[in-house]
Amino acid sequence: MVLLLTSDNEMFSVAEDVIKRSAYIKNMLEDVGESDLPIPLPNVESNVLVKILEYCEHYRGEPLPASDVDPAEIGDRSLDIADWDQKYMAVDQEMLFEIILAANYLDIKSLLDVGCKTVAKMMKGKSSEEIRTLFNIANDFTPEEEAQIRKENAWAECR
Amino acid sequence: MPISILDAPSEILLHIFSFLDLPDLEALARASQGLGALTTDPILHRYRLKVVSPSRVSHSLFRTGPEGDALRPTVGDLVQRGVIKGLGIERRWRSGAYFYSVNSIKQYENGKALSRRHAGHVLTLQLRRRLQDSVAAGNGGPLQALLTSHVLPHVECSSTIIARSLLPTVHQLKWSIQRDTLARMIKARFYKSGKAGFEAWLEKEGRHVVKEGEKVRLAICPDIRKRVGFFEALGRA
Repeated sequence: MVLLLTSDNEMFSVAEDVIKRSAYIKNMLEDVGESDLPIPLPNVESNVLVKILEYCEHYRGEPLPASDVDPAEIGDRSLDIADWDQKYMAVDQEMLFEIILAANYLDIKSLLDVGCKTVAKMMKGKSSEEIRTLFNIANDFTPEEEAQIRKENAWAECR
Repeated sequence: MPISILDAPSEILLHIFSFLDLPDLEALARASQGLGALTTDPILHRYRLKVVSPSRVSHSLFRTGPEGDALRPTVGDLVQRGVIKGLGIERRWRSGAYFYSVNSIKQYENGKALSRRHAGHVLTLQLRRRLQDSVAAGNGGPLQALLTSHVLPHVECSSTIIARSLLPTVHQLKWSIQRDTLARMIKARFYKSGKAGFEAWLEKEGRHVVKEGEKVRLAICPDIRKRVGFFEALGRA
């Protein structure tokens, strides 16, 4: 069993083969060896860690991705998401970003990919105005700048 | 404060963007300045091209046409199509040598410039000669029609140094310069042997050139006018 301490001081006790999906913790366990001390996760809150553990639990039996993958390798770039992953990602936007950030921090590549795909799917085919409302982004262009951009991108309008 | 997409670190945003293609990236660029700066990331686009175009790249680099020859043009093809230009590129390429160096590029450029200038000179000479011929032959020359329709400029107008509107002035100037040099020549010849030279010449050879008369006499010794006037008054009295 591995002890994890979240940023809001909650202690989690997790089976080793579950949490090993996180390359960060897997490497740490290999480096430190058996220890009774909890691993602090100052970037992860307890509610997010629950969600992350749900993901790791579901893929418990699956083989871990090879650790010596070339980072320049182009992985799967399609936006197809497995059914279970789609249901898993059906959360509010804030949680979605928290999951992505935590997956990035814990180095869970498959979860990071699923999260990013979900966000990319939300962006796909949207106009800039729709993207602004979707992600609550303030329009920081002046009207002159907007006109300029429209002029520069005139070639792209007639596609 | 709710967490927003813009708070995510750039590498995560770029990871998300790597799933998108150009139209979506363009929409993102127009949504906000921060996102726009990220969408032009060169590594992102390198990545995107690797995703989007491996089939296109392999097609244009390695695929063969229906006759079995490669679609990718060889250096020889490029030279023949005029895409690659230079000094003996095809020969060098066939012999397996480097087909360019800084010197060969300079040499090629200089050779080009020289041949262009040479052609210009030949053309100018030919045109000028024919123009002069046609002017000399009155209206008979083959270029007369072009001259009258102002397609070809007049010989004197064809200078690029002088504006057309200045031509009359230039004519006058040239004329007076010629007159001055002529006068200087004559003066130099006749005032060489002292002050008497001109008068001596006038007495001998110049007698036929300058017709003697009242005006000439007055011009040579202007103060004679008074004496002439005195004797004339005497004669009248």
